[in-house]
Amino acid sequence: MSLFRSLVRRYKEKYDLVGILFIGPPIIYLFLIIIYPLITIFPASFQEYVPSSQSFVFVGLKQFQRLFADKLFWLSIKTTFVFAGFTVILHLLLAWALALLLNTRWWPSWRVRNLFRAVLLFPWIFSPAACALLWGILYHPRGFLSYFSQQLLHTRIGFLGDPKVALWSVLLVNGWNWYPFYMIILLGGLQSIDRSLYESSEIDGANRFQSFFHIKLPLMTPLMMMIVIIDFIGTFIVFDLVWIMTKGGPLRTTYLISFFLYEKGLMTYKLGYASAVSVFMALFLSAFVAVYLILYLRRSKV
Amino acid sequence: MRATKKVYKSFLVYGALGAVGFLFLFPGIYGVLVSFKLNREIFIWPPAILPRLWSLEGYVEILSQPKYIRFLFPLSHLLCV
Repeated sequence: MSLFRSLVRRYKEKYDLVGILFIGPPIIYLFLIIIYPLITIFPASFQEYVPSSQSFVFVGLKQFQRLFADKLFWLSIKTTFVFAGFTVILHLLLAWALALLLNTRWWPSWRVRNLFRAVLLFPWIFSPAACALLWGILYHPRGFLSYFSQQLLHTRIGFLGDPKVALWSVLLVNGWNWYPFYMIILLGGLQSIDRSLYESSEIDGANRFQSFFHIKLPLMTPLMMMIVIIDFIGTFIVFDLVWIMTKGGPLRTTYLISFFLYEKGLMTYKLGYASAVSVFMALFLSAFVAVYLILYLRRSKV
Repeated sequence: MRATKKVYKSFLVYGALGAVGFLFLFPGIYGVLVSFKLNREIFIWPPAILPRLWSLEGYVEILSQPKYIRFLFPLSHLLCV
């Protein structure tokens, strides 16, 4: 009995019971909402759903065989890669340019700078659905940007109707909606760089480009790695924005992997097949992050 | 001479900042203005930035129907918090 008591006492010393009570409900909630469904897709990907009996039948690796032979799947993978890759590039370019602009010393006063920062943060307040509706009105054949293109280029660009243009117009909207987040991260990083580094480089006669490439860029690399990972994953699984604007688009030029998943899982109820797609996505994104981190750690060690 | 140059320069800087800011703000402002338009006025040709007739029809419809108010203040969000 005394052994039990000492165990209880040691447990109480080590862990705060009240704290455990506080984090208990969120953990149970997260488990029920996120982790449990995530685990169930792994067994479901080896099974096939039979709607008539509402049951799953074990089929082994058949779903994956079917998946890798599916041309639509590879098309959606390709589109998603183009979409996510160029979105990351666009976000990084915009975020770098505007963060450097906000970080310069030639602002007339801090009030002007803060006002401009607020202006640049403005697109962030739109939820993706509102953003898609808003830009849908602008991109409409009778909308403002079509009129603008007709006046300037004498051709009416079909922003969401032309198979060559649709993906890029959707990409631009995603860039517009999310760049403030990455801009703020980069701006915080830039402001945390020690002033003395700039001063010593100025004494050594470095110009602005040298101070950018030899001070700012190396010190910001960890932040940029984080941004690339977050942004790539976030854009890889994007659904709402593109779905509201194009629904897969003209000739399936904006057909993302999430649309493939939605079509298989919730429109035609091939639940086993959709689980296989989800497993592929989860494993691929984990592998992407792992490879990225390994490369980064190896480089920073040398 | 120097003062005029300074004024000229600050004018240029503010102009450039205003242009960049307007470029990023424009879709949002246009969206707010569209919310005051009547439904049939949104896609007139050539498109106008300002509504010809400022109407609150959309707002009245959203705030007077219970099914929309339910989406504005969803119970599920309270549960998530």
